[in-house]
Amino acid sequence: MKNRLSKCLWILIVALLLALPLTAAGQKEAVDTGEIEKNLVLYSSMTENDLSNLIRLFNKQYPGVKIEVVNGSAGELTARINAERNNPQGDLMWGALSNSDGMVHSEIFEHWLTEYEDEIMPDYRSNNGFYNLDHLSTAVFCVNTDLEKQLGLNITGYKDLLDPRLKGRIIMPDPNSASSGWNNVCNMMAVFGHDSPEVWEFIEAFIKNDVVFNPASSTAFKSVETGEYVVGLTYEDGASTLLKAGATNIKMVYPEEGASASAFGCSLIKGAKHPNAAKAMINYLMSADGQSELGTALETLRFTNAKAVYDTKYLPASSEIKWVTRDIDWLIANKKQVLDHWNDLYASVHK
Amino acid sequence: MWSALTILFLGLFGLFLLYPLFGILKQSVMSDEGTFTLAQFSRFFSKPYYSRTIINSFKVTVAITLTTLLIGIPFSYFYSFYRLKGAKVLFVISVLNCMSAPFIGAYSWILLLGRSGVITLFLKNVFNIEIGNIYGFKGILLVQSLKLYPLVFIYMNGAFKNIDSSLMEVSANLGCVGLKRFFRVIMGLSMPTILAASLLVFMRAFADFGTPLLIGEGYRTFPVEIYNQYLGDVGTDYNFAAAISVIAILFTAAIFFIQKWATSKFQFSMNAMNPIEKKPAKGVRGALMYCYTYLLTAIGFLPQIYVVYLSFRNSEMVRFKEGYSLSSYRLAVDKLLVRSINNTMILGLGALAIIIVFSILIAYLVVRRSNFANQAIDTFSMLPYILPGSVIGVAMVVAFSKPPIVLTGTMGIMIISFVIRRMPYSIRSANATLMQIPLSIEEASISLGTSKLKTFVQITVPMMGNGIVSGAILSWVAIVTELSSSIILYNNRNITLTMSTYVAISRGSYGIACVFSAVLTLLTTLSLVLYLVISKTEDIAL
Repeated sequence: MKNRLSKCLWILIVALLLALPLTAAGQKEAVDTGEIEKNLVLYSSMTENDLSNLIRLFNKQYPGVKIEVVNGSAGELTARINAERNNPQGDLMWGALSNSDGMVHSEIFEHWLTEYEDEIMPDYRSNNGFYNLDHLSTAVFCVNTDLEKQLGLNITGYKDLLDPRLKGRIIMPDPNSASSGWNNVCNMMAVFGHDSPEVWEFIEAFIKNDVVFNPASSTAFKSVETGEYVVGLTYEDGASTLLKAGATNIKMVYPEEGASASAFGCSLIKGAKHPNAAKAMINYLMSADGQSELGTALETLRFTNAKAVYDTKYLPASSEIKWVTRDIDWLIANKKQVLDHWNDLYASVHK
Repeated sequence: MWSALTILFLGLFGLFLLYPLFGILKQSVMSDEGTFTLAQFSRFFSKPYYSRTIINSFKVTVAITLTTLLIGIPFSYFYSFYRLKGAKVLFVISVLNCMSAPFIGAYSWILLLGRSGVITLFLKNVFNIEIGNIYGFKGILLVQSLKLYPLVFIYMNGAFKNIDSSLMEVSANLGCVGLKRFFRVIMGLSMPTILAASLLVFMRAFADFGTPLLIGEGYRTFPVEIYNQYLGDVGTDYNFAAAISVIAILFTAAIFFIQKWATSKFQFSMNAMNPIEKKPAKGVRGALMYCYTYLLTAIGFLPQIYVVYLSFRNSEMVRFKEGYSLSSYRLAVDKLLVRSINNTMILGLGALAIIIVFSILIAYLVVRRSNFANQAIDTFSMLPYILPGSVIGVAMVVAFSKPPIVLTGTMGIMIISFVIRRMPYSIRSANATLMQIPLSIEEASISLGTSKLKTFVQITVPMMGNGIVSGAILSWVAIVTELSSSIILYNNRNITLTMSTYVAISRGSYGIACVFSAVLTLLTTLSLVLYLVISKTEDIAL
């Protein structure tokens, strides 16, 4: 038996070694001719709904361009771009690049902005010179209405999150690892006052209510829909995509104490192999026409170009929401300190 | 010829392992200004937020290791000492249980036993039973134990097979039978294997980050922290991440040496001239054995069955809907399903071929040509065993993304990382097998006039056959489910099924994720069945 085994083994090895060189196909170098290239590699953290619509609409305008998407969280993608710096594999990144990042990623992106920058609402013009901020992400609660009723609650704002009936039933993305988690912390700061005693008092009580922190952004709306949690602290686009997909057991709650948004955008990767196609896509994302078209198709996203016209069927009108203002510069400068404070509180509660 | 090989291997390990690792080490003790500092280490140990992760990881990993031994050893005992009907099915499904994509077990258990899981609601509505919270420590323990017990099973099968039946008879003659014989003789004889299996389970469980990510809730573990520091959405701190990696390496290295020391207490060589005859499983005891083995296998397989079922459910974007169709499959085809399958096969088999050849050669160098250089090769080759995957991934990209060697985004870098990461399994088993083969057999061949090379190819390698194949199967299992290093190494050209599953799950496209996972299950089943048919063996033993 041993003999037969080893014979199989050798045959297998030889066959595989022969097959191996076939797999090590080389890469072609792109030559920049100023024309739109035939390929485009898009790094993105956006939802399926966002991506499939963008690709479909972009291809309508540029039919020959084959778009490959590499999905990942912001950290995964920026770490990847960083690592690939000497041999860039991606052309542009869309999503999870926010106006609260400051200059962190200055080295990995091309300092290039579109000509549409003047048309963008003044609050959301690029504040670092290389993020083209195309859409907004408002911090919202995703609430499971069946469970809310079962528990006899009516969740309207932050004060309700401290209710003992919600102990262990609230989920929030970990602000240390997920951009939508940090987005929610920023909103708390805007509501209760940046670094004020009130905000830290609230956060301590909030953490003490056994809130679950998950590293992945998508669980905060997805597992509310499946009933694992009653409330998820999340962002508009994620929660409203569930509504668009036909979920009837959830609702979005804009905290009555106030809501605020981060602006998110796209950026050209330094040394991109298909720079012209990438610029075409960024132009599309920033133009009034592109945002109108994409906004109409998505119905779940608010855009930044003041001239864009679209209907957001799954989002409430801006006038129905109480808005508060974030101190973006303070948040950029104090991110590390805020997170350290947050983590110390977390560690003191979860002994 | 052998010294040329020594130099070759030293070169390869130097280039593809030590050089990238050196970069990480350097990063961990460098300040932003480029001077030497231990600030990152003191930050880790002074903040309970970080330092507690290592205690958490240790606790849950030890619990997982003990549980897998507790359920895996009896399973293997029944399987090896009794003639069970459908043994092949038990074996194949057990191996499949540890071959699922890392996220899938946790995801599926949440859907089954979570707060609004299928089973939870059923029990609550029909019997009014509350099963309580499955998150945190308990959840990780459940998912990982059911996933990793097959490793113990595979290892122990090999150990039991090597027990000579005369030893059993002797102990029976001396009045040592039943449970007493099981604990004093059988367990004693298989102690080295139990320790080896424990180490393997420990390392796998310690390094896993998919499970705690999904089911850990507030239970923060070490690999998740490394992942967060390297790849979290919010401002990554590479120096701190490198420091955490170094701490992880030191910790696992300590465990490795403790295991090595414990193993040295149980050294003996055994070769079963008369393997044990399997007895029929009859009566109440037989029935209990059937219950135990089949129930355990079925529970372990449940998550994958459920995922296969879900892959046929209608779904739209992030939601499952009523009714059944192939819609998720159609969507998955758009999401590189075909390419993922091809890549999984090409990368998996390619890496496996290299691993098999290298392990045979390295084992020979280490065991038969022991000298300082070859011992160094042995140590280097085992290093990846204790390295968290994400550390290897990042180290590789940093090292090979600039001239003269540019490998990022190629199939090559995936194969190299698979080989480096998963070769230790094969080398260990090849080493162990070769050590069991008496040198006198080769000496006999040489003294009869056969050349050294011919002796190696025709005598030594065939005798190592069994050990190599079982090590290779373990490597294959690990390659197919490889996630932590691929996360940073993959792109759309070299994406694998496991990576596609991860991408779909993290984007919330659960229907598509289920398709990828179902295809992975199908593929791994086929590969195992094919192996069993071609080799005409009953199982794989170490």
